[in-house]
Amino acid sequence: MIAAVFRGLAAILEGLGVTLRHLGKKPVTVEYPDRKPFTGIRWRGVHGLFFTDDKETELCVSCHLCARVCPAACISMEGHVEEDRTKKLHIFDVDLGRCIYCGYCEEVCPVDAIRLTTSTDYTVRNRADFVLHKEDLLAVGRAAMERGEKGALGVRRGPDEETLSTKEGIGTKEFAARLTSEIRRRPWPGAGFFEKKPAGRSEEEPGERKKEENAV
Amino acid sequence: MLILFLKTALLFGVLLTAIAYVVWVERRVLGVMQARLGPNRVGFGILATLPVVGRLFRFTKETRLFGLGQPIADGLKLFTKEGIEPAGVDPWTYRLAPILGLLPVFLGFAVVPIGPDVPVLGRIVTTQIADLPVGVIYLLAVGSLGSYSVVLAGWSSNSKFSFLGGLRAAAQMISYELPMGIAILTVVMLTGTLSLREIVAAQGDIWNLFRFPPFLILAFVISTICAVAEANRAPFDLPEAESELVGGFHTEYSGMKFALFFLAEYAHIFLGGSILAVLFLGGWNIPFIGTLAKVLPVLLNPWVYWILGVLSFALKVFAYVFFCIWLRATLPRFRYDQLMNFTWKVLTPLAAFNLLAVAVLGKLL
Repeated sequence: MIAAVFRGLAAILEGLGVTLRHLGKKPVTVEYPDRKPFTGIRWRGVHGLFFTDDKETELCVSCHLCARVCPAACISMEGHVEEDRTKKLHIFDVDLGRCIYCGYCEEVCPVDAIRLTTSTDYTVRNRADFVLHKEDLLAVGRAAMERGEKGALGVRRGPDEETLSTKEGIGTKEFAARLTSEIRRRPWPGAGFFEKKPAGRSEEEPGERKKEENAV
Repeated sequence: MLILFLKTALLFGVLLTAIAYVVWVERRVLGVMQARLGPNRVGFGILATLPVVGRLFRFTKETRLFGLGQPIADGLKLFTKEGIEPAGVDPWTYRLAPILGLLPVFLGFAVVPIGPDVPVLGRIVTTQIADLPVGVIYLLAVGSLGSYSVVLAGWSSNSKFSFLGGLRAAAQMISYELPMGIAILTVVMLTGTLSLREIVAAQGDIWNLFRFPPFLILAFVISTICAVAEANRAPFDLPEAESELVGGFHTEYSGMKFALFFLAEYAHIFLGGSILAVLFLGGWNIPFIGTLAKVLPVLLNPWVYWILGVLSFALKVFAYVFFCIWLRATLPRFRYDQLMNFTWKVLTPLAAFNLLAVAVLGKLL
């Protein structure tokens, strides 16, 4: 019985020692609004719309793939055709209240325009503020690029796997310029709807395109 | 008379401030011991609006000062909260209980000698409100009054949680008074006086703690355990056991009535620390002051001596308060039968044998 008493005392003293040692340790708490918690670089956080490497040209080509693949249907977008017949985005809304951060949109994007960043600013005071508009997403993307992020998926791919980006040089200014020039030359079925074009041009085009493809 | 009034007011002010800030200290220390931060956000942002001071110390709205504003915010919250009286309570007992809880604790402080005497305007002033010749008995008597408050609160609330908390509190507080009394009796027997002032004066050369080792140390340990138990602190916090009894005896209390219980609990810790400091740790006596004074004669100036004495006393009390917080961070709660077994089967016989041993030793040596 006396042995039990001493064992109990030893246990109590040991416990006291543990708590006392913690007094000298740094608490693990991250003071959230003042300091951001550390997230892995593959963190699937708030979406960002990315730019070319010089941060001038938007990458999105308004293909609607992300909106279609989204299981939560949180992306709604609308594009239009510019005067120069490039497809331009003018509405791109992501509803963070619905988003499940699965990353499908990033995975499906052919030009890696939408990527999930490490930003953790999910909190808003107003329910309506959950919907991020195009400018917000561009700002998130720009900030993420400045931090040197490549999106959750860009990192996940191994170095030996060729991505669309590495193969085609997506994200470079040259690619964007080539794409634009290519699209400008490309016939678009609905083009006549927007602009009056001289008839017969579409017949000239296939030859030109073929030539260009060979060049590439 | 005026001096007495001033002393009382001063003691009240110091004690209430100390309690308010000890709550903050407790939350911060507990936090760090559990690897978190504790309250550190409430600061003195309002100071930034002060015309001169705000500029001088560069206060901003973000001035947080480690959360030192927390006790003020807590106090304001408790003052402005609605005092709910549930249906079916016994109104007068219900209102009386919190007052009865705080009253005896503050009464107890009346006999605690806090520092040495100082000359003020040609007369000697004691740093003690009343020097009763039966101070120790008075402390024990007044201390046991505190259990009335808990029992009455538990009974009058008309709630089974309160009732169970009150029952436990009654049994616990009475049970732990016994070994406490016996352990204190050891000191009384050694010094031959019941006046706390004389007990402190008798410890000028050697603290009671170090006499007849290890018997007085054992008495000190027993008294410490009992003091923790009487203040209903973890690991003896069965009466409020928040994980099983909601809040125990104060489940049905809110607003300022709850605040009184809260104050009483923390004042009880301070009182327990004061009693231990006075009886075992030499009260306001400063260790090695005689040797130090030979090098620095200024230490014997009455006011310097007084300040050092009060600091020495405060340090001892705060060491005990820190120990309470430390215990709370470490130990889980006792089970009820363990609690009762511990006091009746371990502490009480141990204290009695200890008393016997000291009596024999005192006669022999």
